[in-house]
Amino acid sequence: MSATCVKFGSERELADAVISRLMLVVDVIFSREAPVVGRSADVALCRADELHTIEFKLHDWRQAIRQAIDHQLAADFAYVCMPKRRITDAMRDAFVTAGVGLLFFAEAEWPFEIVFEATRSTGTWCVAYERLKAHIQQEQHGS
Amino acid sequence: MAVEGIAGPHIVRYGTAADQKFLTGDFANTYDQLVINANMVAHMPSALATLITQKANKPFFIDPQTHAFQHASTHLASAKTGGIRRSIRRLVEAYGDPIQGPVLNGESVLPSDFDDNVLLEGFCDRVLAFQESTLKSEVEESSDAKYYQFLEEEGLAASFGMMQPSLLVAPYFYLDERTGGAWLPVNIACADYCLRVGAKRSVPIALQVVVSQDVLRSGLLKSIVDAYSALRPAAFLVWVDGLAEDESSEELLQAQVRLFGQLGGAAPVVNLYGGYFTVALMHTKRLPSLVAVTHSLEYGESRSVVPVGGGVPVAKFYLPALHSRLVIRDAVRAIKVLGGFASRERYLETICRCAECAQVIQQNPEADFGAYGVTNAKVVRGRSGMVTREYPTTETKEHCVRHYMWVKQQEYQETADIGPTCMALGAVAMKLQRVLGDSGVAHCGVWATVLRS
Repeated sequence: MSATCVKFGSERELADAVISRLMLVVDVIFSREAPVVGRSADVALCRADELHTIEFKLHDWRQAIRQAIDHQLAADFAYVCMPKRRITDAMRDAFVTAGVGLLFFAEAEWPFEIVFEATRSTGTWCVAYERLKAHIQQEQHGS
Repeated sequence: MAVEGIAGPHIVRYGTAADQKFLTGDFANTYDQLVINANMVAHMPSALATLITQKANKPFFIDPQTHAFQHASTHLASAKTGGIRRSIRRLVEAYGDPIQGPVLNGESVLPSDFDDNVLLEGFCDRVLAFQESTLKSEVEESSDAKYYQFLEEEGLAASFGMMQPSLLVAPYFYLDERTGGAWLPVNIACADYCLRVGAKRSVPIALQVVVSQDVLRSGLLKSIVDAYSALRPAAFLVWVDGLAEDESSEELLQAQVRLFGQLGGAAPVVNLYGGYFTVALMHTKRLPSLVAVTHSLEYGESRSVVPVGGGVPVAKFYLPALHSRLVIRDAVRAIKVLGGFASRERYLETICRCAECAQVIQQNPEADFGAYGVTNAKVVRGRSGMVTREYPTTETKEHCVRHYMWVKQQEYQETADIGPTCMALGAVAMKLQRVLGDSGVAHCGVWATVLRS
């Protein structure tokens, strides 16, 4: 599904649009504002027994990459999700170098278009990983 | 170098009541002397008397914190009530005028308030008396006084004697480039009077020299050094406002070292807020007059002059090789790179073998290290709605502080020559620069350069 050029007023709006679609997906459990070793991931989800984090940003992709790098301590894959935009060479280099994936919002059942795949994190800390997993499961059961 | 009033090179600043458990028991042997803020003495004299006589059994001195009254009165206000903090009010009442009038009126104290010599001398007398007698009176007037007297008479303890600070500190005010010219004469007049009083009564008097970072680069510095060097105190207690050794430039550290050296020509020097850099400098013996370095529990290797006291410590892991506190995610990354998670033996060999780590790190170092990073997640209101924040648990903070205290003891006891010290700093910076970034390890190179110069 290709990304669409929907305008969002805030990162929260973007996150809300994604969440409303994720809630309809059966094989995913997720948590908003998930704690990650002193940081917080906008969304952390568990799919096929793998942990993914997603940081939403409208513009500042550099800051998003810095945050996503911290998420790599707790997740198998760390992503940044933005509204569809032009990809610059600098952007491409930065995402690839960091191993952070880039998603564009897509108005579809699965609300993402993968622009760059995240590479599997080699820096996960088992303690943070287990805590994040437990947090997502706990949130799921609590909701 | 034996220094009157300074019990040894390792001085710890007592911060809050919660610090007690890290200053007593096994930890009492890890340091030489305590420094206690006057507002704590005013706030909880009974608990401090017990700490000194029965728990820590340590020589101590009191920082009279007179600089607190020259700043805007908002710095003395309680966050809860908006009025002057209770401990500060007690201090003000003990010190009297020319501080009491303006401060209780919500005003700051000015240099001109000390123009009257009689008033200045009376103020000095009261500041010295507060240090000398507050805790002693607490013991003498307590219900346990007879017990203390019995112990002293039987030679079982020197309880009353222990309540005597090992030195007294003259009143002092903060000197920055803009206002220091006006405050310097006040400081010198207070110092001069207190030294005369001390000489008459054979009480060692120390002078606290508190300067801004910009003073270190200004023409005012020479006037300050000249004025203080003409005096002969038991020691200079030096505090450079907000100077964090692991964030400072080479130029700033060189300037600090010069200040130590210049003042050290007249009397021994104590760095009131310092970390490994000053401790290593002390080990080099390049400045024989640098006799001691003070730190607080974990978070107090530097301190800004304002706010006066307070501050919420956060749990961080002190990485011994880097001599710096790291947030837990950076500590994990660094330990991975240093190979510390490979096995318990590797952890103890490459990261830390202090008593705390030896207990925390058992079968699986990577998992066991989690004890230094356990948090409770709480949902709080952020700028863009509700967000989840993690707060370290009490146990986490205690693990971190105990580890810090053990490592600090090792650092003060080290006798490594300057060459190996600098080589070790360079090696760890090289290994960690990719995971912590240039700025996370830059202090290693800066320290090595200054130590070698």
